[in-house]
Amino acid sequence: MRLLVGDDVGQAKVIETSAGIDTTLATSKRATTNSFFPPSRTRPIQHALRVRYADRENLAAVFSRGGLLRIFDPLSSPSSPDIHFSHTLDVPVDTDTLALGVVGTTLYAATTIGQLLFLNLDSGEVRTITVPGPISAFAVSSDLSAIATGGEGREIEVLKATGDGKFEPAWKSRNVKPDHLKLEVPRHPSQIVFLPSAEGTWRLIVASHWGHLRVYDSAVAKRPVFTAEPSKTGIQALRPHPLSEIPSAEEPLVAAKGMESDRAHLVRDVRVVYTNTSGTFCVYSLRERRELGLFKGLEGAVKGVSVDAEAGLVAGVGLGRYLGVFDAETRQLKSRVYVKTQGCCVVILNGEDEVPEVPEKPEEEEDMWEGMEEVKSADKGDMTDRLVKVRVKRKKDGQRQEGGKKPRVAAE
Amino acid sequence: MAKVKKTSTSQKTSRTFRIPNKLHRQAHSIRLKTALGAAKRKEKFDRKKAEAKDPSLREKRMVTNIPDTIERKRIWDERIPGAVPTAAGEEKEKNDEAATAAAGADEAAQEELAAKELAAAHETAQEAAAESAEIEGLFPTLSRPPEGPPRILLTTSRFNHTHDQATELANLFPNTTYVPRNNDLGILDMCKIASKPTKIDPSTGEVRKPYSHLIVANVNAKLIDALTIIVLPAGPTFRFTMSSYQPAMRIGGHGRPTSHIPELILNNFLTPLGKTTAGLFQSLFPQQPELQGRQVVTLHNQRDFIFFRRHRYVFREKRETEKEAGFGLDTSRADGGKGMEGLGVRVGLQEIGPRFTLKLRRVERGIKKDTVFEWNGGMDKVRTKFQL
Repeated sequence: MRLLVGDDVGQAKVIETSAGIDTTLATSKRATTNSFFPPSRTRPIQHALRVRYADRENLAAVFSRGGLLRIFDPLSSPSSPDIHFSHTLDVPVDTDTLALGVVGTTLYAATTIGQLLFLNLDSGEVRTITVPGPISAFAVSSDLSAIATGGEGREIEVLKATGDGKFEPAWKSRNVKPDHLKLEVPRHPSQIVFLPSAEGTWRLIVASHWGHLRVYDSAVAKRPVFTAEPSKTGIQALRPHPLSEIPSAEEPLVAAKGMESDRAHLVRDVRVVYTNTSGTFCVYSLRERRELGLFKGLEGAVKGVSVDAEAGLVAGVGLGRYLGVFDAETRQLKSRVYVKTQGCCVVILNGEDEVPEVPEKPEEEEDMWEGMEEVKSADKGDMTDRLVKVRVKRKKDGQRQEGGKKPRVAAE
Repeated sequence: MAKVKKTSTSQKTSRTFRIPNKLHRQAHSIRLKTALGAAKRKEKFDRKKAEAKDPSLREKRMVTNIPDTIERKRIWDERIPGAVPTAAGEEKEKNDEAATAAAGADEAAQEELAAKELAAAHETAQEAAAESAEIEGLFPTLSRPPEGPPRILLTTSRFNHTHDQATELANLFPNTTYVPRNNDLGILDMCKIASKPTKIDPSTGEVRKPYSHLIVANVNAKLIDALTIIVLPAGPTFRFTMSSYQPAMRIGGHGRPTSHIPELILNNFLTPLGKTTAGLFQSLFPQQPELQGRQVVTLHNQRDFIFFRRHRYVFREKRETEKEAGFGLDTSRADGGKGMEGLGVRVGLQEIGPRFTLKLRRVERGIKKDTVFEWNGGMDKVRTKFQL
């Protein structure tokens, strides 16, 4: 497995590991680490992605604080990395980044002040757009027709793409009803995920810094159709689980109509992997409204999560300085590597395990086996039966005829 | 008394457990323990006599008789630099082996070897640079240009009416102000106010200076049982539980503290988490100790418990029976430093107090968010693995 970890001091660490490596154990094999880019505490790498750029496959894109986007070859020499693209957004140096993703051949990146970058991965053309900020969550729909933003004390807003490459407001959510004390529920989204929806409508899963998980369906209501509070602390990362059932655009999202959002269940078994600021790293089912299980083995808050649906892997890295790779289905720890620095993000570059080369048996050995005499032909007779007899398990006794605690069977 | 055989008190072999009468059994047990103690004492004195005659016996014993402590048994921990072979180190070893093997081999092999060495060197340099960058970024408040010594605000948990212990703690850390807790304010509010004060100080007529640390002492049953220390304005937050608190008044022969800035001794903080914790204590004291005060604060970490002591030291003339300070310090010498000349003085210590023990329970990167470390019950299951 090859993973890339972006750390708190601006290094991109390419880690080669395989199933079974756990560096907390003295007897375990070591993983190899190659660190790219000089350490700098002002430029932590906050997002990373595997991309194809200018017809070159398996490159890595990293997005650092201050709006620095770099695309480089993770297999190049770490002392002189092969950087294919580098661009710095015109933002203050302490601006945090929000998102980095790819839709088709377009790479998008977003910052907290609302400046967005769109990069054409074929031509290398860069386009920047500014949306009203500051924002704390950002997502792009699967066909790049809409973007969703949200900020502290602000509603979720969907902006629709216009023909000239700009975005205009199309839909705005409404906060949930005040709580039982008639107090306003705080709004501060941290993550947004688009679900498939009919044209002109949008379906969103939104996580918040207050530990809320909400599902919005713009065709049904402005308020969320599903609300849960799985975490007492803020949710940091949210990814769809590889085994999640994604509802199609045609079918309804919620099981029963008119149900209050804090009691509603989704029709399909939508599962998400989320982490919070107090160290929880788990799978949550929106149909069952409960945690399905934890990914155990990492200390501290997990800041970066990566899901590889093809390989069925979930990787996490965070403040505990360990990288954990888990099986998505069983949640078992496959590999744990000490990365020395605090991680901010992780991406699985190659989820396949290298099959260890089994050395071919030398022919001489086979000859030796062939050349051995059979036991049957020995003078003492055939001994194989005896060997077999030793291994045969003793048959269990039949039903006791007398004595013991078992009830006696009356003789007929 | 009859000759005592070396015996054990185990249930299988000892007669103690087979005597039915309780009084007889007790008497037997006392006789047995006395005899065992006497035998042990005799063995000790005999050994001492023998070793006085022949000092080589003692040296031999000291080499072989190494006590099996939990600290010595501390298990392999990759978080401590140098404790384990790193990937780079292993690679280097392999390369060294390969270098000797491929000394006469072709150029391609040698080039490959050189490239590997270069990569290992690069990785080592990156690690060193990353560590210094991390230390720089650890305490955002303190990495800025020095704005003077730390200013600490100390308060307690809500609804507290006992102030003696808190006042004593306030005297412990220089530049500390103890403010009884305002019950209406939470920790986040207090942090906001303490890091950006808006009120005017009547003595100077200027806006009050911001605090660099907030310490919240949790009072339970009129005793402080936990400390939450927050580095302002943005964290990190440390939570310690406090036990075995002994006020200065309870310590026999204690001295009186002066207002001098003490020297600081931080012992045995090894892992990155340990270093972070040591960094916190370092940040609580101004970094220019007033040596004329001869006061020293020690924070000694042992098995993840941090022992706090405050002493005053004095250099006094040594008595004839005493060894002088500096004796045996240079162990690299052939005689183990025993023949070296000391300083001709002895160091006397007077404890000032208070004494207490801390245990790290939680570290958060921000103010009460982003957990870095949290103690959980299972962590001490393996008694030879430590977090600090």
